This record gives sequence, structure tokens and C-alpha cells, in this order.
Amino acid sequence: MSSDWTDPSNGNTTPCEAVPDVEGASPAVECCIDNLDSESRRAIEASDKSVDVRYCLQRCGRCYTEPFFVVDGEAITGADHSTLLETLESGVTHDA
Amino acid sequence: MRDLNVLFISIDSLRRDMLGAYESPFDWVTEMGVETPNLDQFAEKAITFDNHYAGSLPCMPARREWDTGIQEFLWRGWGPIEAYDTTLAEKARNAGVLTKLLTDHFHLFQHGSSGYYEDYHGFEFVRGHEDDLWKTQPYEADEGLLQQVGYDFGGEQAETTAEVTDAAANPNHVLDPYDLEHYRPRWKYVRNVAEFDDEDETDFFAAKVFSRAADWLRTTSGWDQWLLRIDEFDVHEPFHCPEPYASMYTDEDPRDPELPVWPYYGRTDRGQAALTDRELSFIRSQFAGKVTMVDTWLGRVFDALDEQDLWDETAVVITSDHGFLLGEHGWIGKMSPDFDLVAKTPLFVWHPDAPESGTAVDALTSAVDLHATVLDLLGAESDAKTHSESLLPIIQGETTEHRDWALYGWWHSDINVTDGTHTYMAPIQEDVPLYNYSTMQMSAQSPFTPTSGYEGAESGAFLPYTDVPVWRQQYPSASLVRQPRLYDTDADPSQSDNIVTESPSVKRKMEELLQDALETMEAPEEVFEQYGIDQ
Repeated sequence: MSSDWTDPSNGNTTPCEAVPDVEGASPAVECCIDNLDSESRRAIEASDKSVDVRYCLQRCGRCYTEPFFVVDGEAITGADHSTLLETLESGVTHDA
Repeated sequence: MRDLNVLFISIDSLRRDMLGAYESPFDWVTEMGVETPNLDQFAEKAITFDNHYAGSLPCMPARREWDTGIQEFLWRGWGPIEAYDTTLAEKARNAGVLTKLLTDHFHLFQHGSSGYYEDYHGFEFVRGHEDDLWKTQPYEADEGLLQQVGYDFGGEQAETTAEVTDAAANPNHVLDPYDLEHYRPRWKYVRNVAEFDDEDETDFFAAKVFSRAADWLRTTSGWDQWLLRIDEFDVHEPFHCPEPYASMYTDEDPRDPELPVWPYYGRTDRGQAALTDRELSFIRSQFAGKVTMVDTWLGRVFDALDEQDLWDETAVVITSDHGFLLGEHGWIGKMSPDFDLVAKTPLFVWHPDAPESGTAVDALTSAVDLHATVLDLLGAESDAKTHSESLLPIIQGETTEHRDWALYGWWHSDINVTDGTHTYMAPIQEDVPLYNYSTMQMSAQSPFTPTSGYEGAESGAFLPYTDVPVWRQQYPSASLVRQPRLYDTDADPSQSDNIVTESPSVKRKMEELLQDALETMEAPEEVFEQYGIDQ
């Protein structure tokens, strides 16, 4: 599923305090909308993994070339997004 | 009123709450005390528009609004001037006005964004900002600056200076892994500025652009009337400042490789845009430094107007395309929900005959209105159908009202409407088909000129403001806010309190306002459905 955006209660707080990490120790997974086709989008929506769908991750060359997620700031790639979701499931998130 | 010269200046990413003419609801901004003496002095004699909003976001969509008067984001995303557009420069030329563009804005010249400079009588492009494709010769890399712009030499990706610089030197770099990773690789900026001297601010971009503008004002005479358009890319990232600005708002070493000057956009607490408190504080200081740098060099333009005694025959319009979140709402950048920090922009207008000079006006105005305003100031006619409503009646003191609503947002995402006292964010419904309408096959993101077709593309005269046929192509959409959000910006200018649940009557009013706006704009049918608005 795609994760919702959460805003802080007080705009004057520092960012690290501003958005509680409600998902605990789960990795931050981000993907770019232009890297998804309709099938991969459905796979993400159906998954129990929290994936932030962004409209640009400023990694346009990789985005053009291959399926990828950014997990805790690092890119992982795979044959398709279902494979990437399985990679998240296995807990192996480094780029092979 | 008489026809005037027009000096139309945009300063990219300029947060209005850092200027003396506007207040900030954020304590850190007030405490930092960003110095903008020239803009403050200008505001004292100009009209300050206190309720001015961006329209189509971000940079290039804003420019198409200014240039053509078309509020494009209901129909298409980031892209070129369309074949059916008539630009500000062309309209001015047709009225016998000499037109000139001065800029350091690479995107005006980038693949996929044509048409923004070709209609001026003359243009000058100061090279090297951001990822301008400029320098090509081998160079000695500044490893510290490479790290500051985002290369992670010590991280899991294990990039090394040699690999990055090899990529920079590789003539076939289009296919190397670092371009695949970054596409618009940041080492281009590092190479472009390799010979800049941090102690000599005249090497940097705002200094060059505004100095050339001042020179142009001093040396250009003999024309009955002119339009000088200055499109200054600073304050835009990278937030790479020369001294004294780099050290003006921080005690850190501005060249500490651990301190970033080019953050990713996104949430600051997690993911690729995550920042430590120290990193964020430093970025804020460099952003503020750039604001002061821009103000300093803008002052040289004002000096030239003084010296040439031009104020009495020249209107001066100063604005920005959008702001930039610096940790507020847990975000950094502009690719965020469209809070006022991004969407509520500065606007000052000097007119030598304006009866209300030196005052602030509260009328709700929109970026797209500047197109008709500049034409009116020039006395130029326009018969093209646009969304632009001239601000000249306000400038002339004939009215204090202007718009009932202003729309703003990014194509393919959430939409926002304001009545000047409340802002309402309506999420896009991703299961409703979204279309891009253009004479070009284009993409909102890279690559800007895709080489394969889109399934189901249709052509036809779909647009209400031209009879020229365009392509209609389906794209995915993405919501950031997911749920409607409502803010009372009078009572809560920081937009920290979402009142959508507790204020159903205001929510209904804003939905009706959005409906009215979309109907007035003759938005495509699917747009109503995307935002859950009855047609």
C-alpha cells in the first residue's frame, strides 16, 4: 500500500521531531511514479509494505532504465516491482 | 496612465517570509533575521501584494503562466511553450517594444522546454547554474564540494571521487552508471564552478546576471520603450554561497564536506531526504545567505535605475515562482503538499504614477495575472484568450478587489484553492484517468522527449483556449495529501492546524469555490472527477 503523508502538529518543531516514525524500525521505501506501470502500481497497493509513491526522486536516469525502490536512501533494483517487494519481504535491501 | 518601460524580475525559490516586507510565522526565520535591505527599501515605495499565490508549479509551469497567461496545470505538466501560445515577448514586440531577456536559468534552454527565449529581440544566458550542460574540459575535482552536492563517497553505494570524476571526463558519459543514477548529475555543477573563487562573489550567478542587467540599463538608450525580463535562478539550489554570505548565518565551516548544499526533496525524518538537525540548520543558513546575496546584487539594478533617472518612466515588477520548505511540516524542497511556504509568493510592483505606492494591498492575486499586467503596463494589446487578469486597476487605485479564488498545484497531483483567508487541499483520486494535453509528446518527468508512443493517445481540439489540435495521453497520478485539508491562513499562517473535520461549512464553501473555479476555467471533464467535484 502507499503510505499517507503525515504532517506535524506544530510547524515550528524541528523536522526530526516533527514527523514521528509511526512505522517504527521499518525501512523508508520510496518509489517514483514514472517508474511504475499500472501492474506494478497494483502490486504496491496490494502489498502490506508501506511504499511512498513520489512524483520525482531526482534519480531520473535510473528511473528511465529499470525498476527501482529507494530504501532508506539507497537504490535497489530488480526485474520488476513485484520482485522488489519480495526483496523487501526478505529483508535484503542492498543493491546487488 | 501612460505606457512605461517594464523591468520584470523573477527570483527563483524566493521565500517571501524571509523578506522584511513580509512576516514569517516560523520562529527560526524571525530569529535568523535574514538581511534584504534593497528589497525592503524597494517595498517601501512600491505596492506590496500581500495575498499573491503561485498557480502552476514548479519552475517552468510558472514561467509558462507569466509568458502566455495560460494556467497550464489543469491540462499538462512541465514542458515547452506550445505552438499555439503567444508569448509576452512576442506581444510586446508586436506593440513596438524592444525586448530583452537576461537569465542564468538553464531550464529555459533544456531539452524538452523550448520556446521560452526565442521571441525576445535579444537574450543573454549566464552559463553554469545547477546542471547546465556547459563545461567539457577535464578538470581537477573538488572532492569536498562533490560531497556537499550529494555524492556519498563513504556510503553503501561506495562512490569514489575517481569514479565520479571519471564519469565527468568520459565523453560517453550518457551511459555510465553515474548518469544512470543521477541523470542530471550534480557533478556538472561542480565542474561548472571549478574555477569560481569562494572569496569573490562576482564569480557567482546572481552577481553576473544583475550586473549585466545594470550594465544594460546604463548602456541601452535610443529605444522609445523596452521590456527587460530578468529570470534569476538563485535562490534555487544548490545552496552554494560565496563569502560573506556563506558564513553570514552560521558558525559552521561552509566548506565542511559533511554539510550538504543540495538536499533531495522529501520528508526530513526518513528516506533519501532525511537530514540531521545539524544538516538542516546548515542548509537553512546557506539558503538565507543566498537570499541576502540576491538582494545585494539586485541593489545594483536599483542603482542603475537611480543613475539613469529611469524610475519615472519604468514600471518594476518583482516576484518569485514558488518558495521552498526548509524543514517546516517535516519536509524539505518544493515537491511537497502545497503549503503557503511554497505557494504564497512575494510580489512587488513599482509604478511611477500609482496613487497607492508604499502600501500593501490585500487583494487575492495569482501568478498568471502578471502576464496581462505587464502587457497593460506596456500598453500592449492582446487578443489571445488567456486566464490572466491584469492588476492594473489595483495599481491605479481603482479597486481593492481582484479575484474570488486562486487555483494552484502540480499537474498530476493534488489541487489547491484559496479565497485569500482559507486554503483547501483536495487530493487527486488516482483511479480516475489523468491526461496530458499538448502538441508535443512529452513527459512530466524525464526523459522529457520520450521516443516511444503512449497507448491510447488521441488527438483533437480538446482545449478551451485554442482551436489547435493537441495530443491527449494518459498518465499516472499521485496524491501526497490523500485526504482533504483545510487551513485558516488568517488565524493560522503556519498552517499547522488542519480544520477540515471541525469546519464542515467552510469545507463546503471551499468545495463550491473549487467547483466555480474549475467551471470558469473550463477544466477537462475528468479533472472534476479527479478531485471529487460535481460538474
